Amino acid sequence: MERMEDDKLILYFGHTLIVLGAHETEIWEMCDGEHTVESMSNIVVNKYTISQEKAFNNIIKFLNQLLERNLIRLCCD
Amino acid sequence: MYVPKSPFVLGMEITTQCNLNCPHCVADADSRGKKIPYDKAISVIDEAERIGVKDLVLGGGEVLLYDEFFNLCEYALIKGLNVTFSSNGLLIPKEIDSISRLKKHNRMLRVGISLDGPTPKIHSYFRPEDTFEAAIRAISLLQNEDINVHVLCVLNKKNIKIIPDFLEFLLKLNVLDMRLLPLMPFGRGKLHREEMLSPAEFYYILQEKNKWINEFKINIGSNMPWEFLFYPLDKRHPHPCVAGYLRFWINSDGNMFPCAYMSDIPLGNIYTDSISDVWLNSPIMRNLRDPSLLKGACSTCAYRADCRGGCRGLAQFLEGDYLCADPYCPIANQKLLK
Repeated sequence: MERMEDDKLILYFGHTLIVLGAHETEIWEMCDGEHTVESMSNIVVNKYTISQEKAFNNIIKFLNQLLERNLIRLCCD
Repeated sequence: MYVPKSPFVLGMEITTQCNLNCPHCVADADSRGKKIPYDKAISVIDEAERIGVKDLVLGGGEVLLYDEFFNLCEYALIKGLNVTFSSNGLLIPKEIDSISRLKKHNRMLRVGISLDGPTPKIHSYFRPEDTFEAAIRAISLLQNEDINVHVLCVLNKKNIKIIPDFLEFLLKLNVLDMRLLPLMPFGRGKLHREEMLSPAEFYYILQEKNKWINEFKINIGSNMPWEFLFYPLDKRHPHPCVAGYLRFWINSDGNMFPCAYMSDIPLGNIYTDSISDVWLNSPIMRNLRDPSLLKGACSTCAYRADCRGGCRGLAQFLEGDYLCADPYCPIANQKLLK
């Protein structure tokens, strides 16, 4: 379950709340089974002033946090 | 820790009327019962939708005895709320068509059926023996209609010894979701405090739970805030008691509570107060959200900020103060033993 509060996206999962800021929410919304980490980081690099390496690492770090809490699964083709 | 602007889950005890009279009932339900009038329940749903509640849990008593039950469910589903209700199963055969019709709203609809063991004898520890077959039939009927069904199991001194057998039995029934509910000293449960599980019995369940989940592939829900202590250090994600944080409870008198297990701490009433106002401004709710107020073992605990003292209802009922440590918490227990 999720809902927006001000500029934050609040995820309610397993009696826990996870609060996502604007950038995290953008990544969360790309966790749709279609995007790869690379395509996510390309989108971020084209939108914001950030290096490819930094964007990639930040996204990986965030996805790992979601993975740890079983909020996402990794799909392999 | 972030405090949401409104509860995610709203529980509403729409009636305390019941076709059973179980000795442990936390709602103290009986054949007469009380109820929230339909119009008032509708106005509660209106506010719930307006303030962003996502899940509505309708409880009793036996909710299927509530005259306008299906209209109420339908109204909530149309408003975009997910609806969960629980039943002892006896009236499911009579109402299965009406339950099935609720599916058309494409919202999440979940039904919990009370079943305490894999045999009539074990099930009847607290409940009439003939309700065993009724519960099994109800589960089957709901599954045939593709309704999301889970089993609600009140733990007792007998069934905790045969949980794996029970899980095997549930697997045969294709039940993949069960909730373990400890007997709580509320309602008529107050009269049976000796039937509460001991901390050691509790810990046994929690120690074995993950093994059972892996073995039987059944989701086993339990919700003790200090459960994380039974996980390896790197897998610990403490979360607080849902009271004052995620859930809110309204009883059949219209009184509002942080949760169903804090039924001697009314915060307001739906006839005079708004849910939103009580949620945001009740001094008790604020206290529940402030870990620095916690007493006893919690006052120096490293997990205080995230766990916030464990079950506030148990602290209130067993220690007489909702700011005390949950007496079932392993850390609090250790300190007490010392």
